[in-house]
This record gives sequence, structure tokens and C-alpha cells, in this order.
Amino acid sequence: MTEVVYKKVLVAEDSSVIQNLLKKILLFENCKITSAKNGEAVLDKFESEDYDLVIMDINLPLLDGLSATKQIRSGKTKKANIPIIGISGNAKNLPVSEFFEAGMNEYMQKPLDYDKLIELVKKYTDKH
Amino acid sequence: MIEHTLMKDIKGSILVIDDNEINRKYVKTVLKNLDRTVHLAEDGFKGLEIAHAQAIDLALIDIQMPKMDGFECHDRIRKALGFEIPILAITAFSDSKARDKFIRYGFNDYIAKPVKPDVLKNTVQYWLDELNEKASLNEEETHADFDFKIIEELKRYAQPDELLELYHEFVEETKTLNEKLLFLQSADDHTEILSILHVIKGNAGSLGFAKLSEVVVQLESDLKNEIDISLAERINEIADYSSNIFSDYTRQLNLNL
Repeated sequence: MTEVVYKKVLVAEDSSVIQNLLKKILLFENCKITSAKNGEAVLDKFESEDYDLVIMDINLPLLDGLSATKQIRSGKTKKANIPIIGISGNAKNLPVSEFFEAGMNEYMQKPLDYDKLIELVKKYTDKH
Repeated sequence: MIEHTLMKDIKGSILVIDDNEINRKYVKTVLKNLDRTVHLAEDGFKGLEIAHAQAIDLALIDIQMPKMDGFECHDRIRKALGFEIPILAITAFSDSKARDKFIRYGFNDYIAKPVKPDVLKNTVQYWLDELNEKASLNEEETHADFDFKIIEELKRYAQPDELLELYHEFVEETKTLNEKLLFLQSADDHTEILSILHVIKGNAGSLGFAKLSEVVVQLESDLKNEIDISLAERINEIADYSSNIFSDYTRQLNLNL
């Protein structure tokens, strides 16, 4: 008997359609999703619980995904090193290097390649 | 088809043009794990020679160089390599407004100095992947209503009833958003219209509604570039197209239980 160990993933995304979509797809990888719809909610939820991975949209209300990532990375505890996968429709045509400068480990452009997303989720959550 | 498979397997190399020897060696060291040959050139002229002689997949160009500056170098290298090949600037400019001009000029991206190894490696890897994906996409029809590759992927990850529910949610939300757009069409302030278009674009693209996403992207970019368009007409087109495609998508996408 092996017990299923759920991976805890914080998904920051303001579109509820994409939130639900990611929920369904990541369940496939035994992920338990916590949703946040704006940048401040992301930071609140990140502080109050421990996660294995963050999936962060760039274009978020209140606080954008780049600033939220920088805030997480500026923390002094081990939590600050959590893997962060950035996702975006890149409406502002930002240079991709800025996502990595902010501290994201990976970046994927929307529409998402779901196979690749699953691959990345595995890569960052299977280590332990 | 054979030709295509071959093309995908043959990897080109990376061209680095920088007048500073230490910078060149640094870049080469960071990129050596990417499984590509890295060619180094100390000025634009040497860079051009290499660009003509070798198969190049990506170029990195320092902006401040004495003999030929980064912009002129970009123009000539772009001409030699074509529009598909990513060309990245390396620059000491630190404020993002100054750096945005590189993108507008035609560079695909830029790396800010001091160059951080992770940022350099990840950004280069991203653009190489992007190039690879484009090469395989070029084969397919791009103006179809649906992107069936995305839909097939979704079907592998979600149960049929869940998927149907997701699509239903998307369709209902898009209908509501279209109504909002029709209501806003004569507004002078385009902020809200742009933010609605952004949501539709992301949702439609993620669920494989390729053409809907494409027409929305086009309107979004025309509005942003303040191109003179008939906004009302374009919004009506999107609404018409949506209601048309939504009338029969479950059959076309084979979603019916």
C-alpha cells in the first residue's frame, strides 16, 4: 500500500477559466492546488502555508507577477528558494530575460503547452 | 517530411559578438552546457564573416562596441541570418525604458549587465526552444479555427465530463465578456476593453480556440499601437465569430459524451 503524497502548488492566475484548467491538469500529477487571483493574495497565501511550487501569471491585479516573485525571493528563510514557473500571454511584450531577472526558474508563454508544463512540474517537485 | 525531421535534428551554433575578451569568454563558459558550438567574434565584421560561413541559431550582440555599434551590427547580422533567428542584445543600460527600445528596434530580447549566469542561460534556452517550436509549427495550417494539438493534450489530462464543463465555463464567460465589449465599444478609454481582450485571448488560446485568440490579439495590438480602426466593427466581428463557433464546438472538438 503506497499512500499518495500530494504536491502542494500555489497557482497565481486571475482568469478563473485557466485556474480551473490548471486544477484539472495538475491533479493528474497529484498536485493539490491553492488558487490566488491577485499578487497580494499570492503573497498572503505563500506566507501562511508551505508549498512545493508556485505557478505565477505575470499579468496579475494589485501586484504583478514579477513584483510578487521578487518579494518571495527577497525573503530570508528557506521558503524564498521555492521553484517558480512564470506563465504569461506577454501582453506588454516584456523581454523574457526580465522574468528570469526577477527570479523565476522557468517561463512559459501562453497558450500553454500542457505536456511541457507537466514535465516542468515533475522536474521541480520530484526531487524530494 | 524527411527533410523536416533532419532540420530539427541538426543544431546550429551560437554567435557572440562582444569587443571585451573577458565578456566573450564568460558568455562561452556559461553557455557551454547548452550543447551548441559557441563562436566568438570581437567586432561586427568578424561576426558577419562567421554568420555567413556557419549555421547560426542565435546571436548575442554587445551594444557598446567601438568599430560597429550594436544597432548597426544587429541590422547586418539580421540581414545575414533572417527574421526567424533570435538576436539578443547585451547591454549596460539599466532602466527598463531605455532597454525597451532594443525590443522596438528589432532585438528579440536583451540581457542586462552585469550578466547573471542563470538569466543568460535561461533566456538563451528559451529562445532556442522557441525557434525549434516555430520550425515545427510552420508545417501546420495556422489559420484554422482550432488548434487540435492543444485540445488533444487536454483530453489526455482531463476527464471528458470535466473538459466539457471547462469548455462550457469558457463559452459562457466569453459570451458575457463579448456583451461587455459591445457595451464599451464607443468608449474613449480603451483600458477596460484591452483588459477584457487580454482575458479572452488567454482563455481562448489555452483551450485551443486558435482563430478566436488570433483575431483578439490583432485587435489588442491595433488598439495599443493606436492604429485607426473601426472599433465597433471589429468588436462586432469578434462577437459574431464567437457565437458562430460556439454553436457547434462540442461536435467539432469531439467533446460530446
